[in-house]
Amino acid sequence: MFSTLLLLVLSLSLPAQEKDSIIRALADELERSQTLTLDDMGTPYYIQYSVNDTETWQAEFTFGGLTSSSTNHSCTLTTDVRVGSWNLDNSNSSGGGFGSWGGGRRGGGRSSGRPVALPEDHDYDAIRHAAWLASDAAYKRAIEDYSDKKASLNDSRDSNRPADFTPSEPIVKVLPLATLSFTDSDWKDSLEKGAQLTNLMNGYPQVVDGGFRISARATNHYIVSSEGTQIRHGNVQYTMNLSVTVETPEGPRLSDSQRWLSSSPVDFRSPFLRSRLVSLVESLTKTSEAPLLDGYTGPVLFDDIAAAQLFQALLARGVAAQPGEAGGGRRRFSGGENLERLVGKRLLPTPFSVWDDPTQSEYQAVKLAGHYLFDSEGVAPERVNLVKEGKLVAMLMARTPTAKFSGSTGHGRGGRGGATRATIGNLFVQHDKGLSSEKLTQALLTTAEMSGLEYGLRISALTPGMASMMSGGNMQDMRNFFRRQRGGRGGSPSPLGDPLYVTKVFVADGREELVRGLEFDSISVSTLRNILFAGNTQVVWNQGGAASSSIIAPPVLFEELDLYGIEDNSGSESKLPAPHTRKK
Amino acid sequence: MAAMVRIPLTLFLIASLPASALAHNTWVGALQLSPSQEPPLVKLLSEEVDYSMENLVAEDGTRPYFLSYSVTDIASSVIQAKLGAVYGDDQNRSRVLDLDLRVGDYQLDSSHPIRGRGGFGGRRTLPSFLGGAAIAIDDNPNAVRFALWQATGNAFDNAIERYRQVKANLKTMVEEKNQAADFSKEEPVRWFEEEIVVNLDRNDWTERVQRVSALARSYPLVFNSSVAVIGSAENRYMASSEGTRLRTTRKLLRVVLSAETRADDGMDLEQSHIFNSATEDGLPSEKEMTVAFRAVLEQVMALREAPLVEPYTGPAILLNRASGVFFHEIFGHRIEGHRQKDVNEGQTFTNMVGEVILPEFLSVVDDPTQARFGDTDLRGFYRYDDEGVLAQRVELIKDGVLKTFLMSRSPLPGFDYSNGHGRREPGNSVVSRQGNLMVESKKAVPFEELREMLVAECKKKSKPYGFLFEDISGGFTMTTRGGPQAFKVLPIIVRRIWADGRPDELVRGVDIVGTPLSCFSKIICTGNDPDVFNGTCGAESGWVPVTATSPSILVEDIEIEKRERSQERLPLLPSPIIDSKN
Repeated sequence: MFSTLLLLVLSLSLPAQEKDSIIRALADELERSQTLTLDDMGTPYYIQYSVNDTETWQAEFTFGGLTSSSTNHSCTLTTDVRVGSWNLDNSNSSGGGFGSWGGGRRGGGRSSGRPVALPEDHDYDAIRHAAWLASDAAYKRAIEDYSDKKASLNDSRDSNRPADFTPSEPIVKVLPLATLSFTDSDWKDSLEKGAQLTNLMNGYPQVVDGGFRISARATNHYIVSSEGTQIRHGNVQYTMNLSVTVETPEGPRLSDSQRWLSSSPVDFRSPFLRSRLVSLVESLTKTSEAPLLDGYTGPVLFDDIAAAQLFQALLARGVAAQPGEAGGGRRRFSGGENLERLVGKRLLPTPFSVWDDPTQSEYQAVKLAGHYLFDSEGVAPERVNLVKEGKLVAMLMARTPTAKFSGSTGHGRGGRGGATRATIGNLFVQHDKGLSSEKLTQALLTTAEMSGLEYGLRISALTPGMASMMSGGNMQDMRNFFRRQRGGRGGSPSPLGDPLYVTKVFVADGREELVRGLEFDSISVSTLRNILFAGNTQVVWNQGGAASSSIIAPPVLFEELDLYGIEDNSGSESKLPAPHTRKK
Repeated sequence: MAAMVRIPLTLFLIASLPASALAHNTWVGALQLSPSQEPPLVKLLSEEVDYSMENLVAEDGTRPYFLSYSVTDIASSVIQAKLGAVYGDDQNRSRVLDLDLRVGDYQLDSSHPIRGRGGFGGRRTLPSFLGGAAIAIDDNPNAVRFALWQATGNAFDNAIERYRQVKANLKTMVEEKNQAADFSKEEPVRWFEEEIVVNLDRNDWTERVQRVSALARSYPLVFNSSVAVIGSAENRYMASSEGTRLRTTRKLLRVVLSAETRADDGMDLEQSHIFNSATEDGLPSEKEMTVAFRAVLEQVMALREAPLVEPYTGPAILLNRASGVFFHEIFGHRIEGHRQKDVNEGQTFTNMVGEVILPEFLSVVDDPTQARFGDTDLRGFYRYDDEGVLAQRVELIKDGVLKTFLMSRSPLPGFDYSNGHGRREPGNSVVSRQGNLMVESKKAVPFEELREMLVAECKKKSKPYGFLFEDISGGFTMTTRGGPQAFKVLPIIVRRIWADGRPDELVRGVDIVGTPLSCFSKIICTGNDPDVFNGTCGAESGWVPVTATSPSILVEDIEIEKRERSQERLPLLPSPIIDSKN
């Protein structure tokens, strides 16, 4: 068989793999699995094994105490077995029905089962044993799904359906193992420093919740496929997350959090965290004391990370291909619509370009969370120009084609539940004629004046919205989000979070005044066409989650947006003084 | 997530070992404890209870009348291996805060059931699930106080809202039949045990589970197998507004051996053996583990060859531990106090106190104060329940007559006090649960005699065979009115006993079904071989460790039905492990 031959040739050229028992075991079992056959059903035309071997250390602190600390090692195997042909295979079959809740067969050609555990000591025999059973189960499910799918296609009139999968050039690359670079005593020291950091919260009576979380994670990814791909690549991520909640005078709470990625665990103990905590508390406190604004219609400047949050909510999901939903038939509650129907049309004003480039690891000395070497389908990512002169010209692709596009751009990364679908890496937004910060503020004031307003609004951060929830928000964000949803006006939630830091900028003298208590009226991707101006500097906003990403975007000015005042009565009956506010 | 160890969650029966016949229950007094000082965390909890009781007040002046805090600190340790490879080597520590805050008074409070709520089965009449809260795992006073403050505020808001609903509900519904109070008054207690930890030599145990698990390498048709040692040390701290101050401890250790295969017809088959212990020293030696794992592997392979059985009604013996599970499901769950109070429950026994419900030669007690039975540590042992009430030996059935119920602090008419059976898994609301359920018999014969009686019973009824249920993986029962008052018990080792003297025959694919009242009346006799089933029981208040101890029982008529099974084929390719060692 051709692919077997290829495999043998490649393994000769790869002495390093001899030492890696995972690759060896998977390659050996792959050879056997290619012979799988049942009754008159053919052998698989494609098999891929993916292993994620992850070591995680994490800890959480609040008000001076350690609330959790854990170390975890997990090693899991995901198996993709496809029968049929590139054109028509078992993937994305509706045959799963209600039973397929755990597998998420919809979306992006998933034909694999749930991940199974592999031994932590990477024992060769035990890996083969696990791969043997996983392949057997996946093959049997594949032929069932394939029959179901063929039957349902026979009575459908859709003859222009896109192919189910595309071939890819084999890649053979075994990179050094990623490992965590700290000792037990470093970790112990980090635990002490973390507790000390959050002890600062006890000095602020207005702080009613908050915490600090550190996590160190080394992941090694392995991909072995029947096309001859054999990859091992890893990455190490040190993450810090600081969150603070303060109470406003009338009860509802305001929260903000910040996340930092680092290449060194030394930052867990960095003194700069203290100043960041203090400034987080101060910003929130000032905002909580600011007057409520019960509505606004006029020019709005999305400044700082608010601009990146805006693009994340409106573009990030939509520019990634969503096979099986081409043509934008259904808009599901998924934080962003499929934009493929707008290809060739205007998405943004002409001076805008947008591209995604996972190959870039840093931008202006800031580490980018969306950098990676290979996607989860074993494809190396490439830079994709998505918007040129304001028009949408391409989509980010995994290996599953859509109505208009075929061929992976290396953006197939794990979505929720292990399903593979196209996802942004580092999404860059740029404006050819960007203004300096002063000129942009001036433009805001001029626009406000022309509308007969005394002031314009500058928004410099949003609370996490539905879109960022759907792409891997943390528990704290979730809780805050749902707490707010309860108090909100109801109706369908905006993909955008509520404005968090908002200032009135006065036309008369340029002075700025904090306000609060606003939410957006309907905002959708078409709103983006109304951007008047953008800045000439870009801010990096990193997002965590299963497929971490970055948005790099300039501030943008809208001519006119509607905002409402939030009605929120979610105060507590209990007026029990918090421990740190009691008189000793 | 690290590799999950398969911890049996339903009641799990230990694979059969030669049953050690024990003539008498062995009573064990209080373990040797050096009385210790009030731990700092208990002091902190009690200070915060006092502060909250003094300062919690709603705008309309409502205050709580009762508040208790429990912090459960669990350190757990798991080492698992399959086929000689290490799968999980995890250590975890967590602390969960549970609090009970009540407004109203002992007679009528915020926990009162609200009638007419909820759809199917109408279960939503209990106070809303609050869940446990995270609390600092170091004893940092600021962080502990903060977590208590946060949880207390939420609980107070919920209690006030619920108390309003309770009062409104009482006005709109017909007068309640059940006039018992909502909460019992109990004596406050003070008791501080020494803190405990799990002490396993991780290197030694890792190598040991690896070596034992490698046995499965020579069984190519055993598709999944596992050898694991699991240990947990629980230190629980409590303080209440009534003055209760406690630190109690519980250590649970297990070695779990399991193997799975599939019969040619697609039926999935499993076997397991669990060693339980309350001390590290009580864990089995490597030799004992090897012998037991070999037996598990052989047994599961033997099941592949066993014939399937048709539905049947006729005489049967439930071997001691299988009988223990049977009593736990069919009897134990129905004498839990809160079920007598809930109008949605079947209330099989609610009005039967003083009546005969079992044959007169049987008595049943639940005794959480017993730490051991013979030389077996009992998982259902505790000194104080999860409401801080002293555990009591409760005589549930005396000579066949129902005497009382398992009580938490939720009283019933005529039963005003708790008997120390209010239990929960941390993070759940307390309800009454079993601890160590023990069936005692005055009509006990040696097992061989019981077997002869079975054969005689078959002949009398002109049945060609009866059944011996040796091992049961678990069972479940429905107690609500919405469904049938039925139970199902899932045997894994069943033998056909032929009336004509043919050798016993291993069979597979049967479940025992029935209804409780009719089943009890058909118990004819018991063995003199009481033995312990150590398990974990799941119900409304989560998973709690329990035991059920019983002699073997002979039942005149038992109904079995075919088990559901998968239609999956065996793997198409042979196992890749070709072990030269075997």
